[in-house]
Amino acid sequence: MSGKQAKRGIHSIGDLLAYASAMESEAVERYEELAGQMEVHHNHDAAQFFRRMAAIEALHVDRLAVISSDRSLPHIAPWYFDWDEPESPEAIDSGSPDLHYLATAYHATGLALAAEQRAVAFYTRVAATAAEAEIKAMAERFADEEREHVRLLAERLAKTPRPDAGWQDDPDPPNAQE
Amino acid sequence: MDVASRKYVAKDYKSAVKPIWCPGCGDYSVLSALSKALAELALPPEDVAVVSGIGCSSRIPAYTHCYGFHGVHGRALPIATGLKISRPDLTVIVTGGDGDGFSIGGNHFLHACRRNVDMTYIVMDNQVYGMTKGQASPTTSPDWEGSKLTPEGTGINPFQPLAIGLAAGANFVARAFTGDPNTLARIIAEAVQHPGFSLLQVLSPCVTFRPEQKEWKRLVRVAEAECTDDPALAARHLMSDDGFNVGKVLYKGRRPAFVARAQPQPEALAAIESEFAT
Repeated sequence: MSGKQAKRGIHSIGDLLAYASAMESEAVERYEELAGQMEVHHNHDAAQFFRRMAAIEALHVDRLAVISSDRSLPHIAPWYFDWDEPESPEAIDSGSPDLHYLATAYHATGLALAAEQRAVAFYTRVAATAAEAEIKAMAERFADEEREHVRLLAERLAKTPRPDAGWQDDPDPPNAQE
Repeated sequence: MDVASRKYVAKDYKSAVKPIWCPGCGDYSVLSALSKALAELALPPEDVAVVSGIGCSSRIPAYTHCYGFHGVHGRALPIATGLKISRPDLTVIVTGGDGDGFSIGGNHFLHACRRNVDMTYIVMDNQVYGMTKGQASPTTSPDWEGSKLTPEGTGINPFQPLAIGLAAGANFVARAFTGDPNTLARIIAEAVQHPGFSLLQVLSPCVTFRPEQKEWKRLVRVAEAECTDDPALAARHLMSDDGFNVGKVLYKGRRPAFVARAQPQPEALAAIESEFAT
């Protein structure tokens, strides 16, 4: 439990699958959480987008479970993952400035796109530093899959209308002090 | 341990109730970190009680799948103390904000530190009363002019939770930041495991009434000071601290946790119950 204990790197296929599984599972949870936030604030467009992303990420979790079914994955405590950021790459930062209660589908898509780009960067880094060919090959494959997600989301973002300049305007804002 | 043999995952500790916090609120990270910490400790949800007072952050018990008690303003610690004394088998976690804990509940805070009952107090410090629409709290800087109640700032020295908690006898003192939820989860797990009263100040931005706190992620730094069991050394670190040193446990004391000498008498409880019934 000590904070001094070193992070656990990726030294085996099992480690890589444990990382991938944690990443996708956390993405599902975060998208569900964000969808819930937006539903509470009656922001249905953003909520719908986040729900859809949660469902897609859940498919990735299932797929990883199939890939991992013939092996035992090590359990890694959340604080021992060696992510590039404080959280796993596909978990949208809960404190992102774009997470506004009036966030538009454009903002939501942009956040998801950035998450997929972080995943590409992560797997690319793993592939580049892998000591074993098998790990390198799987990391490259995962990076390619994330690149495809980036492409799809970038296309979607390009088709999504940009928000108006006053998208944050609220005639009855929650922070009004009576 | 492998993944398959784990008893719990973080989701097992979250209820189906959707939080009504503002998007971007730091408290989401605390809920996430708390769930992860409990899962890592493999504590059955029914063996954990989350107790709170009043405020945005005090809503956490409803969002967990543990036992919960949403108490009255500033009174989370005495409720939790009574619970832990009567049910020492439970893991008791107290959650709340800076106003609830250090103003309305300020006196309870001091004496909870003194008593050193085995519980973990997680204070989500956003330096503002958010639920009542943005008034200065005990930890607000004296020159904050964001409230109509204090248009020229409070002019009052902010409360120093960790230094005061340490001086009053808290047995575990740490500060964390919601922008790093995994480190926060680790510190919560350490706090729960450490015997006695564990105090964890969590810098948790209020994006609605203190939007400038979004900058905290650029201001915080990993604390240089290493954990000590020497309260004088820990106090020296805190006295030169600007409030943005995070991510480490500063102090782990060796005081034994309070143990009640007298145990509750079942017949006395039955008498109280019959009194309420009539």
